[in-house]
Amino acid sequence: MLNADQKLLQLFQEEVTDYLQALNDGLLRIEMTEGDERDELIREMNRIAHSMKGAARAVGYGMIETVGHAMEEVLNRVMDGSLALSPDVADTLYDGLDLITGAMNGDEDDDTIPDDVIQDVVNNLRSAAGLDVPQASHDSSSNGNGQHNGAGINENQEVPAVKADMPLPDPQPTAPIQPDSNKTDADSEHATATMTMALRPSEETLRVAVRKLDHLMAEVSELLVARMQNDERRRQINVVRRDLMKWQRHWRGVRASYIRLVRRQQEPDSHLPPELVAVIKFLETNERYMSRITRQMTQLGQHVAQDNMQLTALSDMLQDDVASLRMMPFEAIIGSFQRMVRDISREQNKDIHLDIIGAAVEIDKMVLDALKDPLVHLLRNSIDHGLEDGDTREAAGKPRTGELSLKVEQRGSEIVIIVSDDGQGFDIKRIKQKAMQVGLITPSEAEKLSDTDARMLVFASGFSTNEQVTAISGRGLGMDIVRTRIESLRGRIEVDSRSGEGTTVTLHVPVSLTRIRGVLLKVGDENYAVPSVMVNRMETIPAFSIYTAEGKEMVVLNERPMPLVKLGQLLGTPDEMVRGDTLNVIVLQMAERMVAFEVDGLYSETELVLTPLGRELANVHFIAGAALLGSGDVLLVLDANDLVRQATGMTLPIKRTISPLHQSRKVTTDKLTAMVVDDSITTRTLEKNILEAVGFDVRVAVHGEQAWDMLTDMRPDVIISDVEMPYMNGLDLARLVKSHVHTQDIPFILLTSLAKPEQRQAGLEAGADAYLVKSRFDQQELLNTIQSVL
Amino acid sequence: MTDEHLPPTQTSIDWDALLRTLEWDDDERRSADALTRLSIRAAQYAELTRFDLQSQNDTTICVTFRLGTERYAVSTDWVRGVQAIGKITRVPGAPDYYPGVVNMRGRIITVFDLRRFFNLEINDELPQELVQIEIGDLNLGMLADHIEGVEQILDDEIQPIDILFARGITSDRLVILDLEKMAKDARLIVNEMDEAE
Repeated sequence: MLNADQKLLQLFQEEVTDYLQALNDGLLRIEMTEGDERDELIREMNRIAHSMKGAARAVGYGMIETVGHAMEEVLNRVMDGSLALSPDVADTLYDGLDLITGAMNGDEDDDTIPDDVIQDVVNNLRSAAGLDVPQASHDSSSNGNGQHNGAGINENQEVPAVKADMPLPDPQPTAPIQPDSNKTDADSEHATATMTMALRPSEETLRVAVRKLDHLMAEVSELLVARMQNDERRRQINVVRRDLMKWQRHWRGVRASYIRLVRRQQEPDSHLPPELVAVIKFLETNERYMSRITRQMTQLGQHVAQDNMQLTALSDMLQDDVASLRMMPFEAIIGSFQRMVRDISREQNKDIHLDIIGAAVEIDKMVLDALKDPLVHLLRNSIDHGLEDGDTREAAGKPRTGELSLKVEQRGSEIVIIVSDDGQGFDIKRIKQKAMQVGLITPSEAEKLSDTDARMLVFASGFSTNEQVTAISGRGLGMDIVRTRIESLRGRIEVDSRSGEGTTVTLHVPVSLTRIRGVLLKVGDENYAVPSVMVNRMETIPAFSIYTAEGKEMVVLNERPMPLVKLGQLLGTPDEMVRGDTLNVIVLQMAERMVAFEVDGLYSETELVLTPLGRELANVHFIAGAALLGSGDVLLVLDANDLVRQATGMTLPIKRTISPLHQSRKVTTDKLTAMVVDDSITTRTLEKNILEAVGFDVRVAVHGEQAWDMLTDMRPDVIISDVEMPYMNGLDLARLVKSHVHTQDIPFILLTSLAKPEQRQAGLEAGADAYLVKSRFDQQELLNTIQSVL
Repeated sequence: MTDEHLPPTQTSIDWDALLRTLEWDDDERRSADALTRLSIRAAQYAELTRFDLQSQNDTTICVTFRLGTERYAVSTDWVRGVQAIGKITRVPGAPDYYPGVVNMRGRIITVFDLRRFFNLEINDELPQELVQIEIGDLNLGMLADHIEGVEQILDDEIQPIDILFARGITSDRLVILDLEKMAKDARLIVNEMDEAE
């Protein structure tokens, strides 16, 4: 249970997270807007920075208060026009945001972040704000108030910031806390209420655990089944009604005889036996009853049909609404993309414009979360490998600014994401060469390989064009992650690239992991479904069109030769049908691979609520899950990726449950030991905090020699080392670790500020498993990298 | 009955009145019926509470079922429901003790064949009833030839035996299963990697 303070802190964290997001968004937008809109934006950001400062003061977060204040200061100058918001100034603001973000994510008190880091950021901000630079450097000694001495260090002494109503001479060089305070404090009254208004449309929201939504979704699925069963009841009532009508028709056939009997019975001197008279009487009642029951049955049938219609409409609506609860706009993940592209391109001295289209498209949160990493990798790949620097582009006759675009659109139940750049495109020759080098293909295969297949090699595990090693590539991880992730979403990838003109990567993923469209097919006596998103085409082909190659059956469909495989054989379905003159085939596509599967029957496409099988069967190959049919029967949904892999002789991957990242990270970092080697206490502590926060046991060393000494008594699961260190640098340490038999298996990550390609190259040549650049150091990236090398 | 329907004159019967009578009769019978059922249920509930009170000490309440020639008991702590088997959908690639999946009240549950898991003698006929069990995150429908009912078993009566998944056996040869023990068996989670290696 949380106590009141913890709750407050939690609230504060959520609040600050919102502020940070708003400021981040704002900074990005400022670079793109102008005029009144821009002024309004800056005012709004200033207000937010002020609110953040206030909130931090409330819970005693001195660091955030100080940094927030310094940011406010900068924004004040920008607002009154005395400072232009140049990229350099923006950088100082970003640094401030990063520092606070780091502190928030680290779930740590600010006093664990070393003072010198805070001071650096604050000083930079101050000097950007035009609070004279020399002043900033010997700020503490000349500070008249004394209380501001080391403002970033002793959080609780930051009192003057509260006393905003003290009118002070405006340009107040020595006390950076107070200028413009009248204005800002007055604003802040409203600011708390309308904090993010100008930056994002605000709607009242409620945070709900995803687990609860999942429950709701499962219950709605059950309701859907109940509704279908209700439909079945309606049909049964109709059957009864038809029987009744049959009965009535039958009665009408004999009614004439009955009437004659009645007449005879009514004749005064009729001598019908009393038994017959009784039967006649009964028949009279019977007739009334019968017509009444028939009438009632008809009515009942109509009512049930009406109810059923209403129930259908309501349950469909409910299902849509519940499904939409899980839906989030793409915006939720791509917000950080602009920033990332900006950072990387600045670092690589490239001029790149990222165009995002379709940010409002909504998609199931689970799919969305799983898409973030692949998209980051694709964008980064485009910047690293695709887009050239300005000079090269000019020489090639292209505009200096590289165009990178991310387009999201919904096509039916499928989301299509297109990442394209107008860069240099894939170099097929180099890809093939590289693939041969790492042993993915043989030279003879390389010769036969089509261009489309060659492009897909990029997504093979172990592939990486390491001539130009990037920040976290180096082990061919990035593109591999893209592929596995998209496949785990039951989606597919297509690549199109023209040398010199650019590359387009298209991802097809389902809108929802639970509601899918599937094609029903029959194998032997059993029915299955295949997700429609994986189906390339369905056809009936004549048996004579089959030919063999290397003893394997092949067909040519749509001018493409592809293997023909009996689905029944693959699934081990017992009875084998004799092939007639024609056969039904369904072509499944995984990336560029296509396989035609022979089935015994193909039916319509239908909407299915997909449920994964229980844990006990989750690892069974070829099965993606199951869905309930209206009849209450269970229909299995096939895993098209597995089928294509098996049919083309690829190894089947270990199955993972959806959202593997969070789970497996927990598992892999459970009680693992990490060794952090860095001569800067800042970085050391930061890394230590990050790693400990996710459950690592962290040991620190100040330089390579100490680390090497420590390695004689311990064996960490991962080593994270700086490059430039006294006594023994990171490269030497990496070489040593990697050359020694007892330590060479320990994953080695270099984390450094040296961002030049040749420096990366040197790091990887020294044997490091990954190379991370500190300047765009973010903890998620560090954790992802660690996870990928473990 | 015949006599009632033999009135002196032919047209004098007020059929509507008769029908009303019949419906009224119906209603009364229905409400009487409902009352009876309610009281029976009330009695059952009352019974159950007493039963519960008694059972607090040293007893285990189990669902008992017959499977082949043997009788098994599973503590109700693990039982989520019982039902007739319905249509089984075979899962290709699953081991034989998982003959398929079924719909149990809107949930897709894997059918678990104890006979094959225990390597018992097997006739071809698939048992027709299911006991839905839940142990941790494992949810299985255990096949049973016949579900007998709920029984209260005195713990003293359970003789510990040294077989894999049983807590013990009673004097009338009822095997009390220990599902927690069973859930730890690695075979329960199908792992294709093992097969591949």
